[in-house]
Amino acid sequence: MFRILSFALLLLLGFGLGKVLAEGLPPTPTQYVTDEAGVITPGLIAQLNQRLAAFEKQTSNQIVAVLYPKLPEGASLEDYSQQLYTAWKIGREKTSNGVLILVFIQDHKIRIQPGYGLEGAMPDALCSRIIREMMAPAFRAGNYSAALASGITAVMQATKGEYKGSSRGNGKPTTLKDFLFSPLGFFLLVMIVLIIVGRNRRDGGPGSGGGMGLGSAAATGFLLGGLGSGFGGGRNGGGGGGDSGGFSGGGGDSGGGGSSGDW
Amino acid sequence: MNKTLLIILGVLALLILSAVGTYNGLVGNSQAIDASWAQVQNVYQRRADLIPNLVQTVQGAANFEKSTIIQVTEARASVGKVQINQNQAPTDPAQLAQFQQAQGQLGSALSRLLVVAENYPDLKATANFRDLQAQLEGTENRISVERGRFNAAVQAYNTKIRTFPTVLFAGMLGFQQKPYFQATAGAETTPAVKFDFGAAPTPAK
Repeated sequence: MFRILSFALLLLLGFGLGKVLAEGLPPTPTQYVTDEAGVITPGLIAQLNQRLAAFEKQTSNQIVAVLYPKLPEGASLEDYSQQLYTAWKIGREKTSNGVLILVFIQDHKIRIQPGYGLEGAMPDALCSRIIREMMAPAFRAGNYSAALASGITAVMQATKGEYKGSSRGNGKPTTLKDFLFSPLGFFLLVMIVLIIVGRNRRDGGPGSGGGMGLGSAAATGFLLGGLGSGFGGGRNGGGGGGDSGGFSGGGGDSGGGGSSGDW
Repeated sequence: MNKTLLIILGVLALLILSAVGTYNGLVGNSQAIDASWAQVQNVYQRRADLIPNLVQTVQGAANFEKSTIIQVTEARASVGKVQINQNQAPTDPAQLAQFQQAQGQLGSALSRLLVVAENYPDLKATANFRDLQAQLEGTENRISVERGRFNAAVQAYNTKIRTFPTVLFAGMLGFQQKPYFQATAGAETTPAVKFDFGAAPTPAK
């Protein structure tokens, strides 16, 4: 029994692990500005991080900028950016008020992508203008630090005031009802019922014949618990994360808006 | 005797409960599909809304090639003729294919127009055209994102319907497979452009 259980657990873990590895995306950044390409002075990164942390406290908008050396082999800029946005969950869960700025130094490519909630404040044409007018010329001149700083400043100005100061996302508390209708809760319920029934039968004296053993009760319970899984439907709490200086995704998503450019 | 009856009743109750659970789950899935379908309609509409402005801007350019503009307006008109429910995902694969084909034609007419516009430096330099181009590109990307989400929602539903234990109840409760957007070979990519004016050197026959 124990061996089967631990095997099942391993199998589950294996599936989860396989999924993460198959996606092969870089991990969620822990800071607002990350320079994987090593072209920005550390002092400026620290300063921009401070400004963006303060900006999030003030407006609740999350702006994340990452510089990579190059795009992965065969990936398209728009597709990759979309995948990263969805994986990193920039912006609040309800409002999706985030912006992702990506720069690929060797590819000479820039992308600015707002979440659903900032599409109004940052229409595609505006993103395109920020790239063309504020970022591309400085990148072309090799002045990466100035290009990034002015791009981020422009994005901050554009998003300002669209969403005001709602506090960091609060994870939904799990209620008893939620638990009972979850697959696990249903499974436990069935187990309890079957064990009680099985015990009653055994108590019924020698005449009642061999009662349902704990093992088969568990097996039936497992089967029925599986049947009941229709109730569940992945209901994750999804807490907002720490409130220290760094970045952590708030649960936002993007619909593929924004603009791409090159230099 | 009573206890056997109790067990049978208990198992029956559990079966009914799980059928209800299956039903609720599938209703949730169907609604997720409809929601993402509405979102797909939304972004296609967004593209259609850009067209009048685009046509006007392009027409303003000196002797812009007329045939590409006509193709765009015609493709847009034929998209309007496809009867499709905006808020409920189609259940008929043929209907979805027809919708997709009309939208695909509009998409390639639009990208042909943008390619042709490359030959008009004066037009390309205007801020208005650049903004429109950015909006069109952004909208095409939105379309591919929302179509992908729609397909993912349909896939989750179709997989659920076909797997145990849902497969036991799904047919009985009237849940049918739903169609996907098909990956289009070449229709969404930039087409090759033939220019009407004879300036471009033609390769030897």
